[in-house]
Amino acid sequence: MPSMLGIGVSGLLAYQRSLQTVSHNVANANTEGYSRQRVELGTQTPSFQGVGYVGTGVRMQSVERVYDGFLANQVRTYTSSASHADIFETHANFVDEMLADPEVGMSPAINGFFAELQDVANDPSAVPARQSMFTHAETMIDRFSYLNQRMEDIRGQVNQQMDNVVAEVNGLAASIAEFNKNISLAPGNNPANDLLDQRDVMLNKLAEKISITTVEQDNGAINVFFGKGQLLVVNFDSNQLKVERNEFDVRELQVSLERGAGNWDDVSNQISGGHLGSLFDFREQVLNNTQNSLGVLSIGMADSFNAQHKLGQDLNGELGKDFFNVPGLEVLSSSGNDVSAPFSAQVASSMTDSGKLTGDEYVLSYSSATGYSIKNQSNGLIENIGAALNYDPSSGLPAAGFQDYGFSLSLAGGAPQDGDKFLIRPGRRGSQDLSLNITTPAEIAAAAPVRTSANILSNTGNGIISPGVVTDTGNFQASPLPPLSSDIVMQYDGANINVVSGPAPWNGLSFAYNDSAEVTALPGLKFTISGTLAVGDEFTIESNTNGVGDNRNALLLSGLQNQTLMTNGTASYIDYYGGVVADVGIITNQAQLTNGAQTNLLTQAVDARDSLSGVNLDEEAANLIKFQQAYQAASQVIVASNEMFQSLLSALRR
Amino acid sequence: MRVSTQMMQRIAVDGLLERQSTLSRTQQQLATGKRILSPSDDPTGTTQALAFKQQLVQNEQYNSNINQLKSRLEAEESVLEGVGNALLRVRELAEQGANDNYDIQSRTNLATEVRLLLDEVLGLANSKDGRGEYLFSGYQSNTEPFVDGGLGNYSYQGDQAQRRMQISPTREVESSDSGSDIFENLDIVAGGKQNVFKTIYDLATDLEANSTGGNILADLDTALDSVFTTRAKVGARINAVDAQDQINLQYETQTKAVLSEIEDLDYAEAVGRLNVELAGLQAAQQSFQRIQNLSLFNAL
Repeated sequence: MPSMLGIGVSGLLAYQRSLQTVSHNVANANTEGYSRQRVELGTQTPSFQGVGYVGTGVRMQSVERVYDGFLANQVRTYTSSASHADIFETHANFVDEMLADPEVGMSPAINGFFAELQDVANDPSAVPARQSMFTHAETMIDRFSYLNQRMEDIRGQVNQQMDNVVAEVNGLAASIAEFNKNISLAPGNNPANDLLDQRDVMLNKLAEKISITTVEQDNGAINVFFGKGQLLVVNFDSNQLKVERNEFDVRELQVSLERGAGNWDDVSNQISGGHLGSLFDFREQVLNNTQNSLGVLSIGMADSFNAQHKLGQDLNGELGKDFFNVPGLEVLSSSGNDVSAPFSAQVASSMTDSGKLTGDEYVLSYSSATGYSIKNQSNGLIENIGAALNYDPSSGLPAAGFQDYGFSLSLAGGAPQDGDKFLIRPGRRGSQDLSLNITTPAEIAAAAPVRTSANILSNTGNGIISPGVVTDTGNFQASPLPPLSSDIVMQYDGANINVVSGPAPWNGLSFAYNDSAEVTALPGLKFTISGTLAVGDEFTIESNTNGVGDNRNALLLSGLQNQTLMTNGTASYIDYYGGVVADVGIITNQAQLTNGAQTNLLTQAVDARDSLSGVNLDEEAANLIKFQQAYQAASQVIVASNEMFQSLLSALRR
Repeated sequence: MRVSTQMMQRIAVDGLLERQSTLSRTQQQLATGKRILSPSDDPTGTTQALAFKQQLVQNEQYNSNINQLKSRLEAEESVLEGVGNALLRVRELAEQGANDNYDIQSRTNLATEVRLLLDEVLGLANSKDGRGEYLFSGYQSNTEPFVDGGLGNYSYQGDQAQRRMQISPTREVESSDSGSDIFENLDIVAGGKQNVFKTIYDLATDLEANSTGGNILADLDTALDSVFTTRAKVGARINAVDAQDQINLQYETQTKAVLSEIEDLDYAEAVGRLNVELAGLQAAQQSFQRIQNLSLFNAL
């Protein structure tokens, strides 16, 4: 039979526990990931007293944490996406601000270069104008390589972060496995609330690094996966991640997962979300694209500028040289390729049309069964080239209908082996490798190599000839100068104009005279003759000896900046650069919006969790008073029972 | 909804941080005067601005070209004016020499002046511009155009080319004239072509020989005509360049306005925004302060 004293003591004990728990809650009000706890009370088994059941006091059933697994999961998911968005935005901002910076961006450098070119056109024989253009060309080249260096620096930071983050992931995975063990081996039937909370904190930290899914086991352990079922934590064990160089490039890191002792698999494309996923996405979507595209601009500009520059004549009277050294296209062999003799295949790539190059990357693979195939990494298009590597779509090789990416491929040595792979990145080294080919300002080819004249002293007609344009210098002699060994003399015979003297291949050529029509009959030259001609009238095309005041080629060079020479003839240099800036700007803008949205979602998820699990100090204060009062009341029950006993004793004493 | 103490704190702090960040952005916009602080703020606007800036740089260059072109053309015009005046004087002397009342002494005196004028015309035809380039030798601007070979033989060393300068994206204007065209390509009455120097030389020789020469007056008229025609062309070019200057100026003003529309800040709007944001931040700070003081524990 229960005594009043027993019931009072059960109340004292119960409220002592409750007060302890309130204190624990207050103490942990600011502990990360803490879920408030409460003591579940229940009545003790009543005893049957003939007339009915009489209560026997209170019993403490358990200490529960106020927790909802769904809400906790939501927080974890949004932690990954918010961390991804945040890191992505931070990195994209670097590139974004760098490109449009008026001090370091490309556009002022390009504009400055072409403005100086105009000054050379205004005064082609003046050395100061040439020197200034020369300097601006160097500045522009510096700017390309500076931007490239900045991007390489960012790549270095990304690599460094990958190392650090992977180390953190490994540490967290190991701790979670350890917590799994402690939780599942903890004695008693009641859950170890604080350990569970701490493991949740670890899981959230892990989710910040990489997007994960979790499955709870019957023993209380949690298994952690990422990607498509890649196991990171299983029961009491964790698998390690490792950062490795990618098969093509030491600077391009990848992440591998350990499967059993010593077996590592590349899981880079399984990694999404979180800090680590963000680094991969940033590298692919922003960094590589921007660096490749900027390189393509460098190559395209150098190539098209050279083409026009070589049609000119410099201040020394020599035919124009290459103005820039056009950067080569990068081809990398896979580290898995067979390099033993006699295999060790070497692949060479040459540019065939700079206007067709893009920032895309391509993988060339060889299989002994089907031969070579090329895959455009950005759109996944695969084309089979065949057994021989004679790839040049601009000339219809290996067959008509191949995508022309602006470059050709050939085997430069060795023999391919099954499984050999090569990565072709046309633009990657462009900004870094651009340099000036000419060495002195005098070598700027502002003039055209030939000039025209009507033999006015003897002609009886009033025909005139236009200054003429050089379209090809292949028939000119570079040495000895001058470019034309003798004058090209053309004579009108009443219907046709005949070349009556001059070097090959022009001597003997003939064309019908059409007033003001452009003449293209003379290889490499274009001009017009207009007016009324008399039989015997002569026109001469001669070497532009001493033509230091000629600015025809400078004007043509200067006109390049307004021509659409990039992206298959759709964009000027600045348009193309604007496209690169806009691409990064749009991605960054989206990243900012996404980051804002993801942060809001995370905040809402955290609010929802905290709303349920978080400690409210006012509530705890109220509980403190409530339990204190109940404790005092229970004490009074003991006092009362004591007094009752005393009064019984004193009644008997009487 | 139940609210935890940490959550209240976090909501308040997040609110403060967010308001501070928008405020700092507005402040940065006001400090730079730019609406677009980085391309991501407005990718399309940034690209447009890049294109407009290129056009402005080019336009500025065209204006500088125009100034140089004008100074070249004006130099040429004044040289041609000098040539014209000299030729008019030569023509006057030729007319006097044709006067039957003149004797050999008077004609020799005339011839002396004619030879001086010949030197003057030749000197003018070999003029250089401010940069030391010959005006009338075509592309060979470092080559003296006319060389006196003695005995009335004057040879042209230049070429027939005219240099051009760019004054708009689509417009090039000749910045020089070939000496061959002005001084050499002259039909004479006797048939064929003869340069003006030879004509003047022949006049002097005739006068010294007390001969009145037949066609010299007509040949001088042809030369004068050529000089005046070229001068008129140069004048027309100067007018055209002036007109283009105006067009470029207008274009610059318009482009700057459009560019400003794209990337510059609307100060009135931004200052208004700044005030609203400041008020918001203050309100957030004050409410945070007051809520922080509320706790049931204070009452215990």
